[in-house]
Amino acid sequence: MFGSSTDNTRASTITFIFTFIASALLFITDRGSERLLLRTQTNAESATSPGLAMLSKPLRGAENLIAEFKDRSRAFEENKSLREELYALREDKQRAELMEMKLRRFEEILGADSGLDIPARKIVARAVSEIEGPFVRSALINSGRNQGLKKGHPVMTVDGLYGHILRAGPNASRVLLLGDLNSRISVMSMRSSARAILSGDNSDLPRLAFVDDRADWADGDKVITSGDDGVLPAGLPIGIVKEQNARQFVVELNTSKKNNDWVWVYPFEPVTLSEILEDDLPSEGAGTKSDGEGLSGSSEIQAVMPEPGTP
Amino acid sequence: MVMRSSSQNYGKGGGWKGAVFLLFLVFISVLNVNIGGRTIAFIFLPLMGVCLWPRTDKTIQSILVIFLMGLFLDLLSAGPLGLWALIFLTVFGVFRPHMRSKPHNFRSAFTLWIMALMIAFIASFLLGWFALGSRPEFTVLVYQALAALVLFPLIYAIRHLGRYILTDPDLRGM
Repeated sequence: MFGSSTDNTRASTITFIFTFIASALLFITDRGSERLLLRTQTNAESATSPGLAMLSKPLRGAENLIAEFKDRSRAFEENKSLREELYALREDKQRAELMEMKLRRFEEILGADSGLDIPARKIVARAVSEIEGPFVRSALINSGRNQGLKKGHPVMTVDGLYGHILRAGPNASRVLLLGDLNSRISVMSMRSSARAILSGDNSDLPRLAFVDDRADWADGDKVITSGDDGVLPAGLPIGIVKEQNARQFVVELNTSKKNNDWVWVYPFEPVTLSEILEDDLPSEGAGTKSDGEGLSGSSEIQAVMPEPGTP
Repeated sequence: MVMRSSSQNYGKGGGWKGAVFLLFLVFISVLNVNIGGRTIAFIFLPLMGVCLWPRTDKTIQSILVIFLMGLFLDLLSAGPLGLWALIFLTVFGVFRPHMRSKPHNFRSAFTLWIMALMIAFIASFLLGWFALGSRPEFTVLVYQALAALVLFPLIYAIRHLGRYILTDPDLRGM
């Protein structure tokens, strides 16, 4: 079947059959289960990320050059509209400062703290490879555990939420994008505070799932993270709602159709089950406490963040 | 079926020439380009390395290299493990590109590429469906196949240039 005058034909055929069966076995065993060779995958990503970063530089350079040409061609109109926006924003800023001051006073009176969950610290990274394929939507960024990144951390671009860290290697991390089939993010409407789950389906327009019949969602609503899952902070911008059919909503992501080169990661610590238990349960018996701690070992709320490889 | 004449020197190249070309294509395939607001990836591109596999490379090494490169692409693209290894081996097994009697000219290589792309398209769609449990995004798959089709002349030219530089002058006509 295979081979030539210099090769052993039978050995070639056996090699082919063996590798084919090995591939098929890997494919079948990997399906729907915990991903095999996770460490190998993380190491491969860490090892290849510098090479990919180097190879992607000319591509990103060319993209930026084209984008700059486009920007220059409409610089005059853009300058005019930006000036108008700036005047409007100055007024908004004054109002926001006033509201902040009022809010602080109310908080002092009520003894409540409604501060933002979004951490002030940012870890900057570069997206060296973005895969928007039919099977997976993910990106590789050139920062990892050594830079303080952990699984679940939100990844942002200037336009909004890009995804979250799926796995972090020493110097590179895999980001699960919002459009991926495995991505589930708890979101809300900025206008009505209506809740839903943003569910990726490997298309450009992820859909809103679990939309209540009475929930007030409308075309053009701005979508932000709700923080209900405890995994992502509340208030991260995601996109704009579009109603495809009656009560069937999709979201046009802020980050899609953009050159997502530089990103930053918020080192947000998720709310763990142990914290909830400590708040809810009286801390009297040692047994109760140890139960809570026992749960916390694997208790990061993962309900809306399926494990990699889970269909 | 006679695949080769006795005067040809096969198996002289080990497996490294094909491996280097395939590795280059694997790296290119996981990069993306944003053109006109649409992100285009080239996931089918490495298959070109399998279709244009050098005739001078040894068969067993070639099979092993193709298997490992398939797995490497699966790891880099974060897709189902074994998917591309299966597709690469299927294309290699069906077309047996290392056993052709004459070097490719552009037309024969392009014809082979279209046939291989069709097989890979169907296989990736069905295997992807099996692995994900839901139908893969058809339009994305079509765009990627079209991108790979359009890029064929460029990759063919790069390969031609590489072959000219790396091949022993005595073997260039083969």
